[in-house]
Amino acid sequence: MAPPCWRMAATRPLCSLVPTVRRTGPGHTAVRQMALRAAGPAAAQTQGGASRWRLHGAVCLQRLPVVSQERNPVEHRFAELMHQVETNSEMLHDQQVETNSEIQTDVYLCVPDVGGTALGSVERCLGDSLVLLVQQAVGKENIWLLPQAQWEAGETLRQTAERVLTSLPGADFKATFLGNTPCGVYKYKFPKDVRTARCVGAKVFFFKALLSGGSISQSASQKGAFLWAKKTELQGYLKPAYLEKVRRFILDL
Amino acid sequence: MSMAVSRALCRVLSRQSAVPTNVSSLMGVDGHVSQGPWFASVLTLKTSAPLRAEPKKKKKVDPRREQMVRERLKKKLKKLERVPPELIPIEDFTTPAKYMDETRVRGAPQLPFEESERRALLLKEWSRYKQTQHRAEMEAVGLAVEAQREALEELRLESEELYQAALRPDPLLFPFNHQGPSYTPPKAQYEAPEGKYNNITKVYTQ
Repeated sequence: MAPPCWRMAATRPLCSLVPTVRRTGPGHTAVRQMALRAAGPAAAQTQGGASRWRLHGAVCLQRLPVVSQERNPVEHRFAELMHQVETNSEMLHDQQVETNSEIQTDVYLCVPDVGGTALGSVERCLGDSLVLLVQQAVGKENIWLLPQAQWEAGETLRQTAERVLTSLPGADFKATFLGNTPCGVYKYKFPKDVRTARCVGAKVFFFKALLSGGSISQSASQKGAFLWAKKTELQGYLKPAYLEKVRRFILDL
Repeated sequence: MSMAVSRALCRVLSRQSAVPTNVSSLMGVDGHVSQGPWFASVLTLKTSAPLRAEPKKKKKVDPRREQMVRERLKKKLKKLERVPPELIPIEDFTTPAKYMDETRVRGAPQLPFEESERRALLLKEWSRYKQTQHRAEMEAVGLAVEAQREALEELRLESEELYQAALRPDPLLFPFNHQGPSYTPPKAQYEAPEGKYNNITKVYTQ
């Protein structure tokens, strides 16, 4: 009962202000900021509390596979069968008419993962897609999670995620963000001693990005601040509830 | 006068010719000259235009005739030009003769029973493997879509403005390019050498 009323009350002042925002051209962003700040106290006055959740933007930075994976036993056998069937249905090549032998096709060897590449290196597990994990201080403890930062008024959540990437200490990554829409959300309530009437918990919105370039500085890689993990390895680093939500949108296809 | 001339001519000719001429018979009764085949042409002196040496008459039909000839040639040229240009042959659509050769066909192998059984079982195993793979893919995509829907729902509860901003399409995303996986890892800053080639494509002109 309470949430719908609160939502409608919050949106009404926004709606009245939004038409004015849209009419202006160049000063759009400036007016929007003012509108947001005006809506905050207005809503607070009407309801006695804006959103009770703190907003965070996080980035799920993925490095897609660089090398094709080796075949399964089933795939290997099936490939052999198909090769046999197809060569049988072909006609003989010029060379074969004379020599009456089979043509040797080059066998491409997939480079196996050389054990020993550091966890923080982008070059590890070239056949799988990796996700960037970072150790950050949340509350009182340092935990491994997808890089995140708190949302500031005046920017969209995607801009928050972009800010997260650029503000990572000791590394510069070039990434392509896949759209403005968040791909997942993790909602958690603060422990009871931290909770206030204003702020009950936090919502983390994740945005997907694909790595297109970048490097890690020496000092940061030595400290082990970064980690590139496969989907199967996430379990060893992330908290269970967090992992449950994150696992859904990380595709390992 | 003419009679005397002809008589003189006959005497000259009779002396020259070996043929016993019956001059007297020719002269005939009353000195009348009879019409023999050879003499006739000599006796009757023809009077033709070159002998007369008159100026040439220009025929009025000549310029028109030349014009007619020129027109006819032009018409023939136009007819030839009206022919549609020859179509360029599409080399992909014509099977080369050497592929129709029957000596190149491999014979169908005679598979032993075990081999055919193995193949059948392998195909079934493959279909099962592919089915599980497909199901896993569909499930993964479904979960991702569900996660996104939940995220948008939560965002809407927070702020309409941010929700609208999230729904806006990103114009800078497309065209999106990404290098797919290769067989071997790429070398950093590798420049492939330029090679020489002979272009043997057939160029047709219409």
